[in-house]
Amino acid sequence: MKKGIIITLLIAALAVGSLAYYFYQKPVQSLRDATTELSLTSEELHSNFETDEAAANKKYTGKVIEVEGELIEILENSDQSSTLILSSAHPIFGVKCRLNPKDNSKAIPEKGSRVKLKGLCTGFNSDVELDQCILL
Amino acid sequence: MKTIITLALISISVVCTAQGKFFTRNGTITFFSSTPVEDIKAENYNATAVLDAATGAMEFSLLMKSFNFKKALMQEHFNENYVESDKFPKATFKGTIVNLDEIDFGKDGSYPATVKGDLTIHGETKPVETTGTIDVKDGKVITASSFMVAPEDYKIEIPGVVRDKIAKKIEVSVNTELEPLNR
Repeated sequence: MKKGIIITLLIAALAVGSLAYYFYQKPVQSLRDATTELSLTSEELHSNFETDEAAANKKYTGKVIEVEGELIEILENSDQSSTLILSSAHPIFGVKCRLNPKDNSKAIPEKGSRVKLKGLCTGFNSDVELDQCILL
Repeated sequence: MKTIITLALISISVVCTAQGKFFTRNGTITFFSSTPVEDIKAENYNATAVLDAATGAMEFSLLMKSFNFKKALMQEHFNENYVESDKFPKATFKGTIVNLDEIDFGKDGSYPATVKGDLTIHGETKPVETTGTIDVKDGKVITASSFMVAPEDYKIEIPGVVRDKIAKKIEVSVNTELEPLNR
């Protein structure tokens, strides 16, 4: 009888341990299946941050958002990923979207075209930044 | 006379580009923590940097939440518990090139550079001095440097349970390719 209890406890400990290990090792997930919390144009998003950064941080930062805007610049990053800059009312800055290099089957459209993407808003540094983006 | 004026104008514009400002919005800043238990690396590919070739002033800034970790849980702990990204969303460096007179931004070449300034992380500002290289190539300025940062200096508290997994000194590497700012 005692043996049975010990074996059950051992199995339970093993299960808890491997579950903890699984959560610890879990890689950063793609946003493909993540629910979009907010959807707006790049102009709206940038102007919201320019007007009131603190309020915009509360509203957008850390959220999965969908942004649509004109593609004004394409940057090649040092890890072979690309960052797309979407337009705003500001002459230089806009919405800076780094594409997820592991999850983008779509080709990057040409400069000047309208694009729509989904990404995680990480805050405001002259540009509004979105990371782990997926072209829609 | 016309030729002289044209020549003068050309030389002024050449001087302007050589002495102007350089800018990037996709600089790479990584940090690396190495302990016998675990190596941890995080990368930020969208840092902003401005360099004023005339004065040697340099400014870097990045968003803490744009650091990419391999493990989701680490990224979460980093932002929520250690650097408190909601309260302190940015890290910045403001400094100057100490040996500016040894660098010719108008001439291709590789120049050793020493930079001194203030690093702000987690709302704490500390002086930092580091060496690196500045490469001038085809009108672009490529900077590379690395230095050590102690989380304690920036009041970043690391709980005892994970203390062995995170190095006392973390290596920060900065690699940027700046283009002339024409606006």
